[in-house]
Amino acid sequence: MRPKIMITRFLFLLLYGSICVPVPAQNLTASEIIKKADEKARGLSARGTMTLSVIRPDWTKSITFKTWSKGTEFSLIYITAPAREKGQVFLKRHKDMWNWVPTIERMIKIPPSMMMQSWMGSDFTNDDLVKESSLVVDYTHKLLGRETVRGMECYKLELTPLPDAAVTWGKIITWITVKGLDQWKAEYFDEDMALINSMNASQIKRMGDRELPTLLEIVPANKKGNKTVLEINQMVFNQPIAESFFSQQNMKTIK
Amino acid sequence: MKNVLNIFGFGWYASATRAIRLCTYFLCLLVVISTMALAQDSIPKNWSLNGYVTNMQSFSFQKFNEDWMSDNLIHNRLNFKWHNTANNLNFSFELRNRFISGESVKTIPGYTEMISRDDGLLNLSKNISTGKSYLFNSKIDRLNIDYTQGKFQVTVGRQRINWGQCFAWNPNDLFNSYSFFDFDYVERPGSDAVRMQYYTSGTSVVELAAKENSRHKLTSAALYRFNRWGFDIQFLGGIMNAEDYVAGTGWSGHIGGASFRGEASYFHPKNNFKDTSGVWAISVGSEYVFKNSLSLQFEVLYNKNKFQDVSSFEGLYNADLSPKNLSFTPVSVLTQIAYPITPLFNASLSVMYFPKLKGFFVGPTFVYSVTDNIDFSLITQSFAGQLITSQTTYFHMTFLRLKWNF
Repeated sequence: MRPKIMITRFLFLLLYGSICVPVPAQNLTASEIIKKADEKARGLSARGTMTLSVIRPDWTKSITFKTWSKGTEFSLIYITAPAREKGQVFLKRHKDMWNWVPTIERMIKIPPSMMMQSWMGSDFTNDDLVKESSLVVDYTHKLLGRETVRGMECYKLELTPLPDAAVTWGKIITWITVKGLDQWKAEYFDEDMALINSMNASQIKRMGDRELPTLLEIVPANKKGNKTVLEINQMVFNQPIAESFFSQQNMKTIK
Repeated sequence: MKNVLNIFGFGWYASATRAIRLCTYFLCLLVVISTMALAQDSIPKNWSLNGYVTNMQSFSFQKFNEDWMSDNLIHNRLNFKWHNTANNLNFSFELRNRFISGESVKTIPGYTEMISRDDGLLNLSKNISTGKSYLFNSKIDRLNIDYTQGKFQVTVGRQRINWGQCFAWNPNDLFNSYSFFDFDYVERPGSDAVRMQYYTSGTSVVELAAKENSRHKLTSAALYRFNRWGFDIQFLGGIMNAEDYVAGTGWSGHIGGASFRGEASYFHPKNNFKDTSGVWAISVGSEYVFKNSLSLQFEVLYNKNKFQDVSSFEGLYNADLSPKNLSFTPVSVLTQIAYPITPLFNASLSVMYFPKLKGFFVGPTFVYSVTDNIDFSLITQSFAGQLITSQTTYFHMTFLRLKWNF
């Protein structure tokens, strides 16, 4: 029987990458704010470790992994815990994705439909985060004003999907900090404009050359006690990583 | 001393000491494992140890109201790895220890030999202790050294060489055939082999591999795999078990959101090449995962080989697989549906259809994740079909497994 493919659902993290370069506060347009926040979130390259936890009223499940990325085209994930999943590797090169399963010594090519599901029943789907990365391209952006959220002054923006964009959400309201251009809060609505998920970022810490929120909590609107938490344990940006790092050969040897 | 004790009616002494020895061994093993697992941080960084311990109770029967066979398996796997980054060297040593007790050991003739059999060039399997109703076997299934120089990699020793692309049936997997039903041994036995790999790009590789089995039959083959049009495509050719020439191709990609995978191999006897006909093994499959995480899988195998006349499903179940002989009927069809009922509780149902036997296999599986590293599984496997007569015979198995990964 095949080893757990579950983690594949998790590949969205590849696309999440990083979080933002400090930019002087100036009169930015809505689209410029989104674009700069997105660029800060990604860096030219990033390398670090993260922990993702799915929290339910009666249990919690966590996975810890190392991640390397170069732009949006190349990423590699190596699972370090729990023991059951340890050693599994995921590689994304352009639009192709592979999963190296060390127990059966096999390279599995991952179909796109596997990206559509939530990981471990977490509160966001891979696809959501894939779409998250195209906030710049797939949405029109409108600046609604400024608001203070948990002590941080933020731009409040409304994102509406372009008519022909294949996106999950009917609308996104997002709060981006004026000072650091970090996505600090977001609310995701479906096509009937009902609130589905809320995201809150917190714990700004220095990670390599930049300061950024290191804790992201996703809370579904109608499921009490449910939460998904992504914690950045360590991260450095813009350190050169050769394209050849993102190879099938490296998948088998990375530790 | 033992004889003296026997004379005085102390026959129990031998059994007792054996039992104590076994218990002590297990206790020591558990202590070592737990200590090492807990002390992972104190192990030098270039060493690693992981594995699992399972306890599995199984029942099998042909008819529910008649005789049941009941067995228990305590299974421990240890994977030791060492690497030297400076010299690009990796060393692997992996073994499985199994303590089997119950009716199979007691009643199946040749069972202990079957368990201890090692098909490799070296015999690295040993029945450490056997009794009327139990068997303790230890088997090394990985023992290799691996050296990398740039894009070139060579691995020598007992290893797994997995060339499969499909899910259940792998005609391209010349070195270690995988039985879909043997869910408790995904690692598979290793091959005593030399394997050379040259990575021609980030997504392509040329491989040369050769193994010899216990009968000194050589299997050697070359493979080229590359990525084109969003597909992994491979071609391979060689000699299998010194008997057949083999040529094959395989692919893995997607059409729309669904995966699309396939493998085809053609085997032709080496002797009397002109007067003999070859054997084809072709498998094609697809998987689609819905947004709610429900996955649907479909695979079909065509493998018209000399039909194995087996009188029972037990025989079929334990029969040797080879890439030339992957199933018991020329056409086999698999569908599988899997769904996480909750993130901690996964259910799946596999159904196979064997037209020639007018038979089928049904295998529901339930896996509950007790903690991050402990699973509890309930697996049943039922076979039905017309084997040698037109009367349908049945064979059912149920497994309850507790597994701890460390």
